[in-house]
Amino acid sequence: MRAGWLAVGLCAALVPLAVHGEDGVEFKLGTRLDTQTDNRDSPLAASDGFAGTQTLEARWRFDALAGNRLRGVMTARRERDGVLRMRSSELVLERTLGPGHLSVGKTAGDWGVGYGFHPLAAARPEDVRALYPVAPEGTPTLAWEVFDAQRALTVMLVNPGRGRAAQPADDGALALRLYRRAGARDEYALLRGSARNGVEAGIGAAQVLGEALELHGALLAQQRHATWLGAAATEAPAARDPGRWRRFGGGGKALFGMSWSSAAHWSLLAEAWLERGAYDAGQWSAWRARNAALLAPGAAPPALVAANLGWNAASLRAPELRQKNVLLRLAHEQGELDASAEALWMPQDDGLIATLGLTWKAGPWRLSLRWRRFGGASGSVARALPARGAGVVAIERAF
Amino acid sequence: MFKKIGNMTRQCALAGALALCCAHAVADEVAAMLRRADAFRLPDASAQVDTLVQSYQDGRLDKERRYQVLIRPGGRALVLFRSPGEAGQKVLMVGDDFWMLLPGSARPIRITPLQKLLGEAATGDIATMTWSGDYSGVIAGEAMLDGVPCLELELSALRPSLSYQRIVLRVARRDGRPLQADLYAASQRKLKQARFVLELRDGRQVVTRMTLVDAIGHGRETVVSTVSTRPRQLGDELFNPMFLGRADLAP
Repeated sequence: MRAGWLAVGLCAALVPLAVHGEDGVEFKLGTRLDTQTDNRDSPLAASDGFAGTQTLEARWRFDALAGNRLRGVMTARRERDGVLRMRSSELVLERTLGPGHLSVGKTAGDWGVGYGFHPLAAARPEDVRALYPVAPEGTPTLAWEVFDAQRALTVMLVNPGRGRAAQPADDGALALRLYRRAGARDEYALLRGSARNGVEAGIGAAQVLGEALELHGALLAQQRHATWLGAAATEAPAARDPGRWRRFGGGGKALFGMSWSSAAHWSLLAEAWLERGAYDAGQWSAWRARNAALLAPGAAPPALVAANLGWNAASLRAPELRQKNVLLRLAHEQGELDASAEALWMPQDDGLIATLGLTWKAGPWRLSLRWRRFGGASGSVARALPARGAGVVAIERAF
Repeated sequence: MFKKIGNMTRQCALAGALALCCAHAVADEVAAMLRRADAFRLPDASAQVDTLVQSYQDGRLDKERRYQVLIRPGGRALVLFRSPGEAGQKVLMVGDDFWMLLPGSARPIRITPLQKLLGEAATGDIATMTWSGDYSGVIAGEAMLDGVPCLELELSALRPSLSYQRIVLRVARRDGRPLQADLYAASQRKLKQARFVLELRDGRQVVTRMTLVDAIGHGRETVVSTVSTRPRQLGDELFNPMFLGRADLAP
């Protein structure tokens, strides 16, 4: 309750800033209803149900003292349990420093090319493939950037003071990013060092051809990579999470994509990518074998089996389920309506994740409907996900 | 005989040179007229323009949106969306190259010329406030518009990425202020007709309102109003797509 009043008070304090020219605050008040249908074929079946969430998001920016500029994003969410949770997903101080610009704080978003996959992300990438994307969680960053008309150079320290963390997004890293505009082509280069992946080097480009076509691609080479692996099938059910990050040799990521748009407001996006850090066929076989061993009659008390199945399910929460992926997205804009259809195909096991979306935008109002279906071939990883389908209905009003 | 041929050749060369000079002179004259017309739309070459775009359907206000546009010579414009629900969205234009930044994202996306359209008011209507440098043309004739003697300029786009590939622009004969423009696509299909309203601001006549009537029909009209214009020194970094995610666009 106290947190709720604090959230309201902080947001109200920001309102007067909106009257200043460059300064401002925008609010978004929203309600969303999430639903999912259970996958009865999965050993990790979730329950069918609905969950409602109310959110208040405030994005603000204003001039602070001595040439500093502050911006941030604050979110207050009330979920099904009725508890109000506040989160500052972004809080950044920006100012000029010498010939460049300094940014200090919790920064959201990444960099480079790609829609469904971001090989050149130096920090936590934006999750554009989420069923209903929300304000992304920022990453503590210290960055200094230099810009001219054609180029940009960024030196950034991600998660300063941290080495190898529990999750890759929380790892400390030092990155150097280069950008150059060459006419209709954007060129990117990345050099990144971290305890987890060693030295990573990548290049990327986006090129516009004619009026309607854009091509993009990126490559990243990694000195090493780490993959989360659970326990083997032969191991007994554990009393605590047996999963560990295991280090492997050189890794890499590759992306190639295109987008096409028409004067009639149709657009098509196609991307194919490779993520060598995702599970290969052998690792998925070992994962299935572990589940089968846990579900064998008399393996262990039910509560212990459930706990171990839950820990093993962490593999299903990886950003990429398979190493090879193909994404197709068709969208059409007609006045205030945006419609989209998307299919993510994993050719290694014929897994398929299909999404339909419809958004109605009228001034400050936005109504969104999304439905996602997890399917494909019967042995595919997509068919092993706990949910068979998931949907969102969300309405937002901006101020 | 050879002397006659020599004379003829000299005369032809002289005539050709004269025609070329005339063509250049006309082109220079039209370019000067476009610069005069531009001065009524954008008094300062480098400026911040606050714009209100109102869309009408059959005379009823349908939509209203606010934009802030930072303009620099050389075809550079940064459009900042200011309306609730769109705040944070940015479109950057540098000549024939375009990028978009969506609200809540820090990644600028390279977009095609077709993707840069912003609903009913094309990006060019908001961000391109000058014709000189983008169009060349000839004086097609004279006309009378609401009792004002005008010159009619037939303009052709110098770049394929421009929203309108052909414009018939009518400017007042007396002072060169723009009064009306017929806007055409590359297919020669007439897309819109623009009418300009001028008012006295800061001691000078400037275009404060441009009404775009949809030539394809359906009773749609868009009014682009210049709420305020102020000169502003704009650094190179503001027109670098990697700078779009930053908040320090302060004056």
